[in-house]
Amino acid sequence: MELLKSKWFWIIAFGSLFAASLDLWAWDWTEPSVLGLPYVIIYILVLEAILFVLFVLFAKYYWTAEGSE
Amino acid sequence: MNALTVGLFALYLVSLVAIGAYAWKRSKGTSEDYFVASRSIGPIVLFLSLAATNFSAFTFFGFAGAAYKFGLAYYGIMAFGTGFMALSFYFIGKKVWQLGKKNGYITPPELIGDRFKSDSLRTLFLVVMVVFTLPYLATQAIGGGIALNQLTEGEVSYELGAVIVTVVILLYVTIGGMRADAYTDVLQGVLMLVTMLAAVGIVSSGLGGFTTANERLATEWPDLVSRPGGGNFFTPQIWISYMVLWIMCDPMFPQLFQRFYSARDEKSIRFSMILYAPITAILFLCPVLIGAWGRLEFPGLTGKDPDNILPMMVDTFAPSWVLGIMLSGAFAALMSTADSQLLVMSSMLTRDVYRKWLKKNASQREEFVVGKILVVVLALLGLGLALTSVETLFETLTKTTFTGLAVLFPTVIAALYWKRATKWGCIASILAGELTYAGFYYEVLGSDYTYGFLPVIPVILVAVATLVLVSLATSRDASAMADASDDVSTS
Repeated sequence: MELLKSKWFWIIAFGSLFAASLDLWAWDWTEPSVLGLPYVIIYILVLEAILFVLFVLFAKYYWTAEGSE
Repeated sequence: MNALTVGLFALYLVSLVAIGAYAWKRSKGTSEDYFVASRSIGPIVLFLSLAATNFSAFTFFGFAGAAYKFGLAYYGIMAFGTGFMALSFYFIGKKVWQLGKKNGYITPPELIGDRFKSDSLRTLFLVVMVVFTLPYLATQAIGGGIALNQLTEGEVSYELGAVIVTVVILLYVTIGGMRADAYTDVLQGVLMLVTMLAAVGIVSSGLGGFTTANERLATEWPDLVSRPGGGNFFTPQIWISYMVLWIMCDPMFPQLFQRFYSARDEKSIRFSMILYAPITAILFLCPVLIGAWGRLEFPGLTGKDPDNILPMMVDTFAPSWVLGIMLSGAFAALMSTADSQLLVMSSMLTRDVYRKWLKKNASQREEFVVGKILVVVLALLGLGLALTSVETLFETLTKTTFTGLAVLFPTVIAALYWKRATKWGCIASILAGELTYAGFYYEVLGSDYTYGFLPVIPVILVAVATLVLVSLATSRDASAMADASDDVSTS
């Protein structure tokens, strides 16, 4: 869990997620996937789920460890 | 017009005023209590208040209208960009809360001016926030006018609808201040989420089911389920621009910035950050889907008409009494934003103009009274702008408010984190950023200079470069050097 208290871990984690949101490699994908929704919607939903998990871990292991006033 | 529809809607409006009255009973009659609820807002109320304040008329009518025109990919640039923006609750919100609690700040310009010991910078920051928030306030009244006109099937004109919305907001904000604002946000946030989910269910059911509606859209309007989308809108440059825009713009909304001051503790801010990703993921999908599905029923809308697609679709598929409840959700979005904008602009004019320049020894009680008067004046100003608007919500917002406020982002980050930043660097950064933006907006600078990106990208680059270069070039006051640490100086 020490890793989750590292500033650099979080810079890389959030930076990578942001980079993943710029999915230029799949720009013209159009195939419907789940419930007829196109790829782009499902992809963003997955990213939002990952973002939620990162926020939970960040709040628990990094923000809290920094100490509060 | 169905009596039950009107009755349900009236019940919603009366509930807001009743919450305002409840908040008024707990009022302490001071400016700190009126503007930031004595810094007492807990986790759940803060989260719903941040969300309801952030999600506006634009979230419902603007998103649906844009999805109608450009397609489902609009969800990507809005939902993830806004969800990711919640990271700023840590690197901006946490520090703003700490400094506000320690130094008694109520408005954003107070913190910036105090950090650099500069009245000029404080005033410039104030002017930018007010100038770019006013048109955004006007869009809430525009949204109210559209929704009420639709709800009453044209019996209440757009203009009268805007007036009714403004008057109700005035009632509860004037009497209850931030506490009323935050408490009503809880009702409005829940209402927003429930009604939007119900609207998706009703509309998709009317179109033959959720999957069928999406498959029909893919078959009949393939450009709306792909990129570059309708009108070839989603280029990689535009995609990147929006992702950056929300991260830099949203925390600069003064109504969001001020909410950090109102938090009871850091735990409240942490809790809000965590839940921002799921709320944007779920809530933003609803108007985007309904807007895109709108092409299946109303294929030929042009001009301002796509901004009406959400109420049009609900009206088509829902019983009229359900429409009343649905549109209450849209009203919740716009009213929860407008009330916060009114309150924060009033607080800035009270603290950063009246107290700073007109009556330096004004008591908290005097500020409390002046703040209430200014709420009324600003509401009338916003209404006046709404009644003279000629552009769509989308165009108005993206062309003025968002980029105009994003220019402040480098200054706020420098104020909180960069010890070598100077007031001259920040003033130059804001002026250079806004002038560059004006150059693009008035087409003095050709669109070639944006290389396909939104103007916000070159504007921010200019603002950052100016801040760094001018800060490094200007000498700094020794006392300011000593104070410029993680802990911003006291006034």
